[in-house]
Parts: sequence; structure tokens; C-alpha cells
Amino acid sequence: MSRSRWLQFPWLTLFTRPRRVVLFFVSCFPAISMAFDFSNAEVTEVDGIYYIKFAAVVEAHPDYIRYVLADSEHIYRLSPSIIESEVLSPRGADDKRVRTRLLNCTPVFCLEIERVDAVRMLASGDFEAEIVPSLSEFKSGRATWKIVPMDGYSYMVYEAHLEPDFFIPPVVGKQMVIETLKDEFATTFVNIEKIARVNANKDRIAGMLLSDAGAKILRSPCAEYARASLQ
Amino acid sequence: MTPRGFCASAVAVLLLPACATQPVSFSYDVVPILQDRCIKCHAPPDGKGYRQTGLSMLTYESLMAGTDYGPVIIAGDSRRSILNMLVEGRAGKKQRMPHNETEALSQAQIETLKEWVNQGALDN
Repeated sequence: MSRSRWLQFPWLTLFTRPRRVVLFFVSCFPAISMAFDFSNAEVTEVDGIYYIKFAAVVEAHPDYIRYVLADSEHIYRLSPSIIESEVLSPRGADDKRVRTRLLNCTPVFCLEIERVDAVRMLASGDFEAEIVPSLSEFKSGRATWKIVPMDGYSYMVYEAHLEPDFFIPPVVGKQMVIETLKDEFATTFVNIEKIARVNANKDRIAGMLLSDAGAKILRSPCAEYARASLQ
Repeated sequence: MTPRGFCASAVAVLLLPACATQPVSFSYDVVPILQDRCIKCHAPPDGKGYRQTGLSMLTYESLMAGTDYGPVIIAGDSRRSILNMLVEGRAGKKQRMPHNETEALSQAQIETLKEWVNQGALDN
């Protein structure tokens, strides 16, 4: 059964399968647009698959960025679009599953999307998330977060392909989704940077050394997976 | 649309204001909930929640300022407000607020907070 819910103007229901539609006659709030200086911001769609790449210098140390990404219990801090989140019981040492429910709005319609990702921290310190199709409203999807040290800061690259298993209105809808994704990632990058800097500042005040931050990642909710990957 | 359908719609529109929910007051409705269930941890300088996240619920201003990581309330949008998400348990059992109490907020308390945020999170 589909868990997707369209929040949209009535005319759009003409194009959707009735069983998937729940109408909400509420106003939609457009995604909060935040400025972020991306060196690369690409979202394209080919044959129903969205290819996404965002890259930017983030003014925070890589270990603190990793800690934010590893802290799945607080994933809701990364974006106001996350309206539900939950760390599901792991199925194995290299498979932490994170469930999120997202509310994404274009100027014309809103979508609630359920997804479950199997999240792994790789030995390189990068992160990989793979959609679990049977628990998600995506046919497939994989994302990587690469974090490259850069003079005390980080060069962060997010690359993903996502194949939605829900209806997106043709032409205009796709363009709106692309623009909404750009806004969404700007917000997410801003929040990752902010949270990483706050955590770094707290550690500094507490007298923690930078090297402790790496250890902190290993005490994070993704500890056993990170440990397994880093060994 | 049939004439009957049109009439039904017109009546529904006319009745909407009468069916509107009552205004929720920050002072009279929300503050008692915060004082009863949240202030113990979210008050400076020693509240555990305050020390961990910087969220003080002592005043309207401090509540709206949110945590060190960002706001917890988006006025008019309880679905996206972290405060509502956490008390409703939408961020998982471990994150449900209040953390250290055996009981979650009552459904009435949850609804009050939701309505207050949806009505604009006013300092009223």
C-alpha cells in the first residue's frame, strides 16, 4: 500500500491514481530558500530518475561534519522537511536503517514521502545511504556524502540518484521538484555547517581536543557500523 | 455541480467560521503545560535539557529562539516544528519529550501545543 500523500490543488488529482490521493485543503508553505555558496549544484531528470550533485566548502572540521551525519537520532535537525524520523533496528553490523518522512512543497503542490535508507560510514570516512525500496516510496536510490579535508574546513560533496515510485506531474512538476530539491539541499548544507560548528564550539569550551571528535563519532548512534568500517 | 451540491458547499463555507477552533493562548494554555512538563529540564542555568541544547522555556522569547542548533517552532506549521515533532513522538521513542518522565504529554496537551503553533505561535 502506498504511504505517499499528495497535498495539492484539486485539479492535480485528475492525473493521479485515486487510491494514492489524500487531499488536504491547506495552504502549502514553500520550501525555505537559504543561500549557500555551492561550487556545484545540479539536479537533472532522465527517464524518471533524478540525478543530484551538490558540492560546497563547509566551514567546519571534517570530523564534526561526520559526527552530524552519523547522528541519525537527530537527523530531523538537518531539514524542516523531515517531519518524522526513526532509527530502525539494524539488521546487521553494516546496515543501520533510518526511516524518514518528508514533507516537500513546491509552490503548487506538496508531497509527503516515506523513505528508509540503509546508512553506512565507509572506511574513508564518507557516508553511503541506499534506499530500501520495499520500505520506501522510491524504486531505487543511492546517495554518498564525501567529506574532503580542506585547510581545517571541509569540501562536502553529495551525489545521489533517486527513482521516485510516486507520481510527479509532467514537465512543470519535474521542474518544480528540481527547484525544490535545490532549496532543500541549500537548507541542509546550512544546517550541517551550523550544527557542526556548534558542536565544535561546545567541545572547545568543554576543553575537548579535536582528536576527541573522531572518537566521539565512534560513540555516536552509528558506532558499531563506523567501528566495523574503520577497522 | 448539482444545485444541491452547490447549496451544500455554500452552507459549508458559511459555517466555517463558526466551526473554527478556539484561539489558544500562550499565557493561559501553553505556559501551564511548559511549566508542568518541560521547565524542569529546560530552564537555565542547570536544567539538563538547557545545558545540552541551549533551549530555555522560561520565556516566550527564549522558546522561540530555540536551541543552539536552530528554532524548534515554525509559526503556523506544527508539522515542521521540532517541538511538536518531539512531544508527539514523531522522531522515535528515544527522542520523545519529555525524556525523563514515564508519561508522554496527554493528547489534550499535545493538541494544545499543535493548535497554538498552527495559529501562529503568538505571544498572546
